[in-house]
Amino acid sequence: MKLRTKRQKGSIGKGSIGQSAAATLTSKPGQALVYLLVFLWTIPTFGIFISSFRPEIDVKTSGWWNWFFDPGVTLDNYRQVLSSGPGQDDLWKFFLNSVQITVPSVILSVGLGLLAAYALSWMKFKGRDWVFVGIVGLLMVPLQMALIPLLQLFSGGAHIGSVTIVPDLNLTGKVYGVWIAHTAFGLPLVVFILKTFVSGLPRDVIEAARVDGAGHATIFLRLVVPLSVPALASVAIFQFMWIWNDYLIALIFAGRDNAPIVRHLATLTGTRGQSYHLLTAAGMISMVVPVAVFFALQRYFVRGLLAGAVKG
Amino acid sequence: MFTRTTKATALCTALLLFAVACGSDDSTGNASPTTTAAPVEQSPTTAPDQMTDNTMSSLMDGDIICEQQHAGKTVTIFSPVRDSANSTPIADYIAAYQPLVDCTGVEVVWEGTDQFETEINVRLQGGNPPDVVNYPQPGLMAQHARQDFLFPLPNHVAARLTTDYISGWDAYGTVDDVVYALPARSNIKSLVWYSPSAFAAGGYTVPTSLEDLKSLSDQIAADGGTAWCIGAESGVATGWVLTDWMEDFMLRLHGEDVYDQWISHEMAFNDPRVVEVVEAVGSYVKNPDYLGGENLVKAIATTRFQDGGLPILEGNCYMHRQANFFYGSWPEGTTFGEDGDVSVFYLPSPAGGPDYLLGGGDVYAATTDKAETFDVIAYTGSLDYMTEIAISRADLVPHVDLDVNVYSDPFNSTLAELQLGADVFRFDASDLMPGAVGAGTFWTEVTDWVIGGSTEDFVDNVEASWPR
Amino acid sequence: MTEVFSAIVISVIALSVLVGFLAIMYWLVGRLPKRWREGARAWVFLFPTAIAVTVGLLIPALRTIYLSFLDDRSSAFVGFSNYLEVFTNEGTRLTVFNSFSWVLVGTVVTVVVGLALARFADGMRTESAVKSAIFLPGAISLVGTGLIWGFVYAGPPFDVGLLNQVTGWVPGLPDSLGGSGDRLWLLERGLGGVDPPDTAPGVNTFLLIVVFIWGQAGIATVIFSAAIKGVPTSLLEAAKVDGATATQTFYKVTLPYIRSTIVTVATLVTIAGLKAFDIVAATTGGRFGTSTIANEFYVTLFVQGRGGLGATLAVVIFALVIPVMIINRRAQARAEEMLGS
Repeated sequence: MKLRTKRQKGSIGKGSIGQSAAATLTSKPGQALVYLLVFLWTIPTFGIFISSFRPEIDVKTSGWWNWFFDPGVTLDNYRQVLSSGPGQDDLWKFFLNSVQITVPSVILSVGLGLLAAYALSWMKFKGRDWVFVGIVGLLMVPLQMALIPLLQLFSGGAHIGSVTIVPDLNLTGKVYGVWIAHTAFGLPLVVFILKTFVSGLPRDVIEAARVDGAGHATIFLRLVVPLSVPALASVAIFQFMWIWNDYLIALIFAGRDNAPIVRHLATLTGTRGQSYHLLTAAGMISMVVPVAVFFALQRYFVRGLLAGAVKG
Repeated sequence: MFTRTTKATALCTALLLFAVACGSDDSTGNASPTTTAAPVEQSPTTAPDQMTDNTMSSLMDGDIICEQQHAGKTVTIFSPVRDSANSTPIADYIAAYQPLVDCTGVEVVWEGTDQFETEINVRLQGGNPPDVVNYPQPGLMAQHARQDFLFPLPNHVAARLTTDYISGWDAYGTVDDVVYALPARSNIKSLVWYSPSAFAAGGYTVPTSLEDLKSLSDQIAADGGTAWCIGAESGVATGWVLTDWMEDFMLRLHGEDVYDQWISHEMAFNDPRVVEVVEAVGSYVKNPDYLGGENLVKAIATTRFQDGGLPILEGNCYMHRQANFFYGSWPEGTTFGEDGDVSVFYLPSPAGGPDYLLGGGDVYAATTDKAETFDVIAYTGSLDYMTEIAISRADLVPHVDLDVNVYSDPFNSTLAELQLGADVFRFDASDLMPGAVGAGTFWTEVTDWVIGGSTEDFVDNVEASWPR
Repeated sequence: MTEVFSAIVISVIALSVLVGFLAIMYWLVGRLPKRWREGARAWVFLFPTAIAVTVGLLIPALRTIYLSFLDDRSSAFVGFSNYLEVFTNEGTRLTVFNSFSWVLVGTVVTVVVGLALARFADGMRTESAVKSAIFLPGAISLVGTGLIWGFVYAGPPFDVGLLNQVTGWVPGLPDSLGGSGDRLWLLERGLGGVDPPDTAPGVNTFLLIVVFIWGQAGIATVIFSAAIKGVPTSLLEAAKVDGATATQTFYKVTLPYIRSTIVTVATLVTIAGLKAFDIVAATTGGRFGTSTIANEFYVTLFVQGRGGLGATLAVVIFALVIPVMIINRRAQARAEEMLGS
């Protein structure tokens, strides 16, 4: 068996962490399995792709595979989706809204999450384990239960009796409220994943830095952040996808003017959902950005999330 | 009592009037109050196109004074109605408020959503209410009224509820004897969609009594055709289409008093009369001969309601019982009317009895107590507004003084005529029952029943779930 | 455009303010006596997160528990009667068993598929494309997923369902397995003429779990792929030298090494499986015996508008986190033991 050291395309790494040295003789049955799984995974979406080019009555009454026997491309669905809304620019506006909602939320949640992950991994304090369990346990809280209390807080502030703990910030319908909501809801997952990674960083490297007199802040900024880039990218892509496709939080906290594109596309089906055939085109369109972001951050993935705890 | 002959004459007269009106030069909106079936009433005489006159000093007979008193203020209307790619109702609904805008200076903003129940509940409880809420059914409105989220309408507005609308509607804006809402738009549900050409080809005629409907179905089945197609799937609301069937039959078999007792639970859900209704509906919807096979009976529960009538266009079934709002579910390009692809006939009542009409509709209620909020609601219930949306959106409206000729498509005039002329009108029952039943067990149990469950289990389970 | 610009400006300012605030706090805390310093510093790092999750999640969770003791209009105290109603309801057992199936089958299959893909795709020329293809379902919003799978599982009267088309095409397949091509997949609970007992999940539930796995596998694959690539070369070379085959290396070296990751992914998928209601709500609405605890929660709270009962179901879901976290902690501990760290 030949042992090859394989560099992944676009890998950033130098040094031993995460360097891929797989036994690259992937067996033929293994490859076949992979292709079978890929086929199964993409067929359903492929069906929608084909359907998006078919006329309404065909979409609703005949299977998409029939298109191969009776091909006829119509761009009506796309035309209707892309020009939806009273003005010409509306879809672009919703797209910008989505960006405006997603990017700051991702930055905020990943940033705060990394700080927390570091504290939970490398700083000693009483109750550390419980705090971690607590944060992760909050993953179980169904989002829907958190909507009303948070909305109450944003609409009217928090009071106990006549004492105002949080003033009325009037955050409803503004995009900042959405950032805070997304951050709060996304942090447990971010902290969970990042903590697992950060605590797996090579202990000796951190110890060495400490011996050299570096404080926590220095270690964090100079060591942990650069080493965590792969993990940060991975978590960022998960958060991005989740927030970009989020519907409920934007519905409640963002005003009509700040509605993300996902929400707009969902309403295209009409007051009684009769134009659901438009979701074929809408679904394809809404996939473009998350997939693009995924590709853009691919190179970080190969370095990987939990790569490289060099032990011993 | 309007017998069938009177109704038919009224219909023909209306169509004739319409034809005559069209023949002469343009007479948009010239409402001469000679609508045949409507009770005689004093109606405001200003027709919409006279409202742009600059000297208007008030609207609605002085109820709203024009002093630009709401200049700079905004009223948001929260509604499940939203624009889709090929239908943009919002602009029309806002445009219809123009006279109010010119008069008081208020700005009307429309917030359409596809998560109506979720969003309105969260917003009300979260302290972020809109001003006006467009409820698609009064049940939720009543619930919110009892939770103190709504403000009672001022007396001069509330008074109109008893005078301006089709009899029966006044009950639906009232909760515990306080008026909270005015009607906005209505729909009628006792309708059957069919293809006139298919009927002609098969030699079938539109039935005029319930008994005839049964014989027609038997006839079609005997000839080898599929009489009925039904779609009741609707996500978490699956089953509501079948509850509509129950309601129509409850009215026809037992009349409106029993219907009311059914809703208020004075009559138990597993009462023998309810069982009779269930069996009667079952003789249609659970009949494999009518549906085209056992599997298709079960498929009722998985066929989207929006697609329920499509087999008619393919020639795969003859009749589809569904409300007038199904209009929007036909593919683009479908033509309506006697010469069109599809048309509609009234779901008949038993011979010799009154004509029952099941319907639904939207009511507007106030979640803030600002003067401009109440003015918007009042104007929404006015003849001018309702006439305007009848013209621009072909909506059905429950105003008694509406001139049915304002509809540009005679198809809609016929429907409006039907609404005004019905002997007995009742609102959709499941919308009025408590949430645990009307939006809960009634839907789930009827679905289980249609896919093979027993009638006893159905009625017993719903009865057991009624909140004490 | 100006709105977007101002949003950018505001977010940059807000972030700078936050960072600045934390920096100042950190410096201030450095002036505390040594004993307190480490702990206080940790809290500087931690408190934004702590505040956010406390306000956004913990307090609502506590409020939910409180609401579960009130009635449907959230006005009168009813003690434990909501809980009683949940546990004595006939349909509850089926709902609970459905949820357990989601967790068990969903987690196991997702982990296995993720590992298999991560392992076999590793080193293939088309590895990126493979991972993208598996990840794609995660990029599709719920709105799209319902439609996509609707077109797979659809049945009569329209021939739009892929599964029916496939099973109808297989020669000789009995009707009870879909051979006639017009089976109502989402409605029928039995298969091959055999019906499951009333409180057991039916075939339709498993078909919905397939949709769940379809959406989750991408994340699992990506995480496992990274973990596998992180296995130190030295260990793999040592195995080669000892004469191990690729398979043996995988099971004896790689898997144990990434055990901690496996536990993490399994926990995440389990939690997602317990919370997921969207798939059920969008396809069957919980009908035909497919409802899960999460779906019941959603329907009770938002469709029927019953505040007290809805909160009770939410509490049941929270309570399930306890066993999950216990298992997670134990498994992580064992994983760490194995690596001798």
